[in-house]
Amino acid sequence: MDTKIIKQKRTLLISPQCDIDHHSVAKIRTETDRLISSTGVINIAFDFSGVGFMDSSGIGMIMGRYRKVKALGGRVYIVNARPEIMRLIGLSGLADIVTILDTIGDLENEHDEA
Amino acid sequence: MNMMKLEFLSRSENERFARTVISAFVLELDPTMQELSELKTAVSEAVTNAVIHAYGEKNGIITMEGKITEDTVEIIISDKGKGIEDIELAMEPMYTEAPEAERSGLGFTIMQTFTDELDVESMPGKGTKITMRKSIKR
Repeated sequence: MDTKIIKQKRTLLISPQCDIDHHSVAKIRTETDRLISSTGVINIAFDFSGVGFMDSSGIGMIMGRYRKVKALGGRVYIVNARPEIMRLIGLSGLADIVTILDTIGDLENEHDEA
Repeated sequence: MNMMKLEFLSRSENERFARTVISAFVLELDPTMQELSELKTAVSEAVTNAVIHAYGEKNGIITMEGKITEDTVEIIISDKGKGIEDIELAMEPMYTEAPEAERSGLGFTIMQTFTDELDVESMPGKGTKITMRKSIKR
């Protein structure tokens, strides 16, 4: 799982390189929360270009991270999610609360709030 | 007609294993990417439910059976674990017995949406059996 701090140190970019399921979310969650605490970022961006599969465990994990950053005044972004994963994000209602972007370039251009 | 039966330990490592097995099994029906993705996700939800809820702290056996007839695949995921007290409640969207573990409670909703038929049988103390059917359009 690659991680990077971008956007004037306010956004954590996470690029998992695996299926996102119940088995793999524990590590993603722990690592993400650890980095949020230690770096002081307020936004999280998930780059899903390396993710071939996600089920509702991933939805739960994203939801949990959303609650965390919302309390900090930040946002959750999702980039490069393939159609099957976008379908699940839509089905779960997550599309209404996270920001879906097409490319990392779009993410760079985003203006942070707060 | 084709059939298969697989037994594995209720370890989370086996969630992906089960998805891989079912993908390989239904290949003969030549599913589209979307059909395959839907089936894998439905199976992942059912297997994950068993891994999380069936046996508590200990490990137990989860069984996955597959049967192909004509253009339909039937998948049964079963365990001999603690069972579901109230099936109707369990199947309500967003309901979960494990909210502290960031469970979304969407498993059954996803199974219903991504398959054509879903059947849940369970007896507290005896186990749970999830039967799903999906037609693969030719």
